[in-house]
Amino acid sequence: MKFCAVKQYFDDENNNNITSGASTTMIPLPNVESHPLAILITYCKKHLKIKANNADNKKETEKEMEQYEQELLKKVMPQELTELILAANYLNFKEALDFFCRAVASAIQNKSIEFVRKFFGLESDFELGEEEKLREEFAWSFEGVDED
Amino acid sequence: MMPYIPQELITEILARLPVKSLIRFLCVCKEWYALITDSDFIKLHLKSSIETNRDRTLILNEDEFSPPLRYFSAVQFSKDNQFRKTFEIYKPLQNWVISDYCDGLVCLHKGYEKLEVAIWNPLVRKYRKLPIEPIEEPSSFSSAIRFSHLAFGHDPRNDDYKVLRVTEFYMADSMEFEVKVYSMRSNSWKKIDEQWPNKEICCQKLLALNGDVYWLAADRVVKDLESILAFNLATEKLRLYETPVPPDDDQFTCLDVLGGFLCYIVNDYLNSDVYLMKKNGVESSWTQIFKIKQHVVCRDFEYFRTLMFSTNGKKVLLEEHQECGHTNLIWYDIEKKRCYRVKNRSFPYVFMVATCIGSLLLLDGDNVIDPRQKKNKGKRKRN
Repeated sequence: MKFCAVKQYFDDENNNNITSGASTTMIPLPNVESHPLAILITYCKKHLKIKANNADNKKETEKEMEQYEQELLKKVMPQELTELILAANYLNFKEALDFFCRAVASAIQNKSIEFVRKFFGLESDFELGEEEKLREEFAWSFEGVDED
Repeated sequence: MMPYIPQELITEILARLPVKSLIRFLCVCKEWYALITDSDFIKLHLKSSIETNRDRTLILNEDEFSPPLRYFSAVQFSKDNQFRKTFEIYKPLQNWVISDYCDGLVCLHKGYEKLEVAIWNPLVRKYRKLPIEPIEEPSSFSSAIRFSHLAFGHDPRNDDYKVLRVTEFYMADSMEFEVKVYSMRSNSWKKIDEQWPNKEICCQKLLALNGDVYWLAADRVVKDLESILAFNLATEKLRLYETPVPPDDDQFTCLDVLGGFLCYIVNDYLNSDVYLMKKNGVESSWTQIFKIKQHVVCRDFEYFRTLMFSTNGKKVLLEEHQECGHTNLIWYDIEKKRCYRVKNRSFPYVFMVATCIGSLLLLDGDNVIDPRQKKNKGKRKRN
């Protein structure tokens, strides 16, 4: 089971000897919104399906997965990525967490300081002149950055 | 409203960024500055760079006979094994030469005695000169010929980067050694008092691999007996290994590193046999992995260095040194037994490759200031 947090829930239930019996069990996930959860479920199902289809061929699995991931990224807004990361982290879904972290890294890689601050809701808290000094020292890292 | 992202997730995102982005993001806020400069993060980021070949850059180090240039030629070598276009990296110290490299750091030296040594991270544009450690001549060796060798590597046990300097003193009948080790953590040199075997270093370079420094040594007494010596950077003890095959008189041998393993190459004018020590430190694990027939497969080469395997392990990237002096990078397909030359007009005529990977080590070093950078200062748009 990929959603390790959910698996943990089932394991805990079994340990407490609660007869769950029915296939429809309600599992509380207070920290996950429905929209990112839906995307993660789709991602998970797709991942398992591709893996099953290419049982022995790891390379094929990777290739197909990459193609699916590229398609998925086109449909997801950058702002949604942070929600997806939080959801994947809460559910302890490692593959999705890795993927979405990579996606955010890719999205911000060539962006300006101002863009990144806005994206993560951060503000500069440097002392007077500190930031200026850093920008001076590492001026070369500001070259070729995307326009905001 | 932007959801609050806990620090460990920010770390996960940052660990997947290339070096240039991380350097720029030092300015985002104090928290990010602290995160990026944290030594545990730097280790995590380095590990991720090594696994994904992120920021992999080959510095094409020209030899000492080429006219002195102010810039190194370099080429980005992406994770899908494509060479991007060459570019120039400003040399932090003019007239210094590359001796070794490890984890994105390059070790430079000046002079044949190698008294002046520096460590440089080209992708972060920082360097540090090591304190000068004099060579102590053994008594009765005052008129000896002496020669120093340097190696630079990581000591995993102490998580320290070290420089090993071995100086050989030759007289007519005898030889002596002086061995010193520099530790980046303590920024100091130390003399090694270990008794050194009476064997000459007979290869071009010392090789650092997984905390050991290896070289080929020829016995001074038993002619033609060649061994591999290994000095452990943590225990500071020497070990002796047998070569996989005893070489003949008309063969010449080299030691190299390939895919994280020690590699032994036996050349004669017909073939080059390449052996790999598949299990570190286990002599019986020497395995011949391929043989290159000189005239059938490649042009006349004098020797080659093994650089790295392709991602699927079916090809090997070689640095081919031709008899006429020209250097080529070639892919050798192990199964098909064929060579493919990497065509790139901007590669220098003669060079040796130093491989760098995305690393944030030495962030507290001195700045390398490219004079071309300063010129553009006024014109560049502030971001």
